[in-house]
Amino acid sequence: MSPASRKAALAVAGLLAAGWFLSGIVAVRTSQQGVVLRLGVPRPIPLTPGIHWVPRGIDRVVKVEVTKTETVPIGFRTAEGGLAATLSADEGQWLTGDTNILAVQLAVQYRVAKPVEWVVNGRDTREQVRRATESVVTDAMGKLPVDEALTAGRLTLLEEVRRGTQGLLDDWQSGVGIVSVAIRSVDPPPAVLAAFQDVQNAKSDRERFVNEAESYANDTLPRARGEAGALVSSAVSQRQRRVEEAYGDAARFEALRREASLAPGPLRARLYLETLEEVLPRMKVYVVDEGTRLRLVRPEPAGDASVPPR
Amino acid sequence: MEEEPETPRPPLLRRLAPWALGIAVILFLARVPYVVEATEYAVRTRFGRPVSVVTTPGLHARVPLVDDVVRLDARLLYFDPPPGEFLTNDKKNIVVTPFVLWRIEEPLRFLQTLVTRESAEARLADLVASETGAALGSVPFTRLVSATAGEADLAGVVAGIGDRVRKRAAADYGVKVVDVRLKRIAFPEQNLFSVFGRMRSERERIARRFRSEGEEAALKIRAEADKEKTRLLSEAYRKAQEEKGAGEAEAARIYAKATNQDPDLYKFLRTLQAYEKILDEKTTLVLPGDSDVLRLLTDGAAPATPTRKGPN
Repeated sequence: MSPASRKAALAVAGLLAAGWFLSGIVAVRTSQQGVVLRLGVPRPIPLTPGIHWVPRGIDRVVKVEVTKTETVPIGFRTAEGGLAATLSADEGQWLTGDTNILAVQLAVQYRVAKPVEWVVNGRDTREQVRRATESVVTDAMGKLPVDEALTAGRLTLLEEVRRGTQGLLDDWQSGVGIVSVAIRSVDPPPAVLAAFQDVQNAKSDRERFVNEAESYANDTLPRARGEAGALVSSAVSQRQRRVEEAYGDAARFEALRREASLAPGPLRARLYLETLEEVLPRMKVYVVDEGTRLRLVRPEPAGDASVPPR
Repeated sequence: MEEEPETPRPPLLRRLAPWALGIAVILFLARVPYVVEATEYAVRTRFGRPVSVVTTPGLHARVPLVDDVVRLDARLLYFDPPPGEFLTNDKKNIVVTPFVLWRIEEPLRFLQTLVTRESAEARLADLVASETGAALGSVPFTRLVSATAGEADLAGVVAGIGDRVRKRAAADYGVKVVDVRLKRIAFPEQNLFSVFGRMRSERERIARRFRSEGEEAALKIRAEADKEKTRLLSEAYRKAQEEKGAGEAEAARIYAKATNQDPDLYKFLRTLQAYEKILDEKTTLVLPGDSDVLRLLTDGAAPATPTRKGPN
């Protein structure tokens, strides 16, 4: 080989070596981890974010997004999901323990928690998370009575879905971690919604009946207390008046008696006339002479001035 | 390779032959090792006949040109068999929607019996349907769905289905069934109407109970209030009458004490007093001409004592 071609061969070899070296440079972004497959076998420790060099042809780096969370809607559809906008007839509806049917909507967020496991096993992760969740909901709802599922049982449901779903994903070694489970709604199906709402109305009716009765009681009792108080105090004042009047009358009588004991005749005459003075002017008085009493029934009034015409 | 300047230049073909041979050998040798990744299995076949199965990832060797390598997915696969309608042993119709997670475990047997994922899924669907039917047919409905604590054991029943499917799939097809679970348990479409009817009547019953409870409580409260009112008023009446009675008794005692001194005078005075009250504008008095009051008018002298008086 001529020196020239030897040089050329060396240059080509050098370039190839440099190219091979450069192609081994790998940048792992901060949201990622790099799982290294050395001759197809995963290394246990993934590459952290930063610049790394791996021997190309021997190592292959799979970059995995580990901070990005994905949301799986269950029992409803999101526009971004790009799926059909409507649910199939029974999707999102579950049987409760007392064989009622409830529509449950929940959103499950997951991310890749174990990148190595995920690279080895992970496929259709989203669908696996969906199915795991749905089966856990089926199991959990089948133990809840409907009234509990609609109220306090939501917490139980939430806890069970989170724990159960994570348990399944761990069993399957999917490398996925559940970040959060949110129950958007637990509702009766539209066909029976009105009946369920009427139960709520009935509950508030119950409160209302009691409140109305209590306001009746609150109105009646103070009134009755007041009435009773008035009755008693009027009686007390009546008693007082009777007694005071009695004392007054007694005192007057005593005074008159003392006077009468001195001159009984004149006193009696005076009192008699005084009373007549008082009484006669306001009465209709007919003076009837002996033998002319029939004048009373004559139609014309008497000539007496104190008799009104009638 | 060295050049021989003395010899005449060989023809081009002969000069390049060693190079070509070298390159061919290098290419041939480069094809010997092949990598099997952790996500896959490889089956090496020679002229279509399998010679070895690779289930461990890493570097492996083959004879280029003669051997062929078929790769199979080793990862977890999911599959949704169609929903099936089943009868529990207490004759309840239910529709269950299962799903299966599986992976290839024995690549060779898989290739020999199933070949593709589609045919594997078709077999799995049959297996799951028959095992689900058998399992559900032997338990009452309340083992699957029940609000009574500890009665429902859906997970247990489903685990049983999974175990049997797993055994049969491993033995027959070289497939590992990782999990079989139920996405959904539902009533058949034609039963929904009666289910909704039952739900509705149940709600109506509850609503009625709430309302009657409210009415009951309200009636109690009202009756209690009325009772209390009656008690208050009657007690007050008693007290008032007692007061009045006491007042009258006291007054009577006072009067008696005073009038006992001169009952005759008292009678006279009291009568006069009564006249003042009794005789008002509506009273018509008819006086005889010779009455005491008028005697002065007629006789010109007052009587010593009043003798007669009388309202009419």
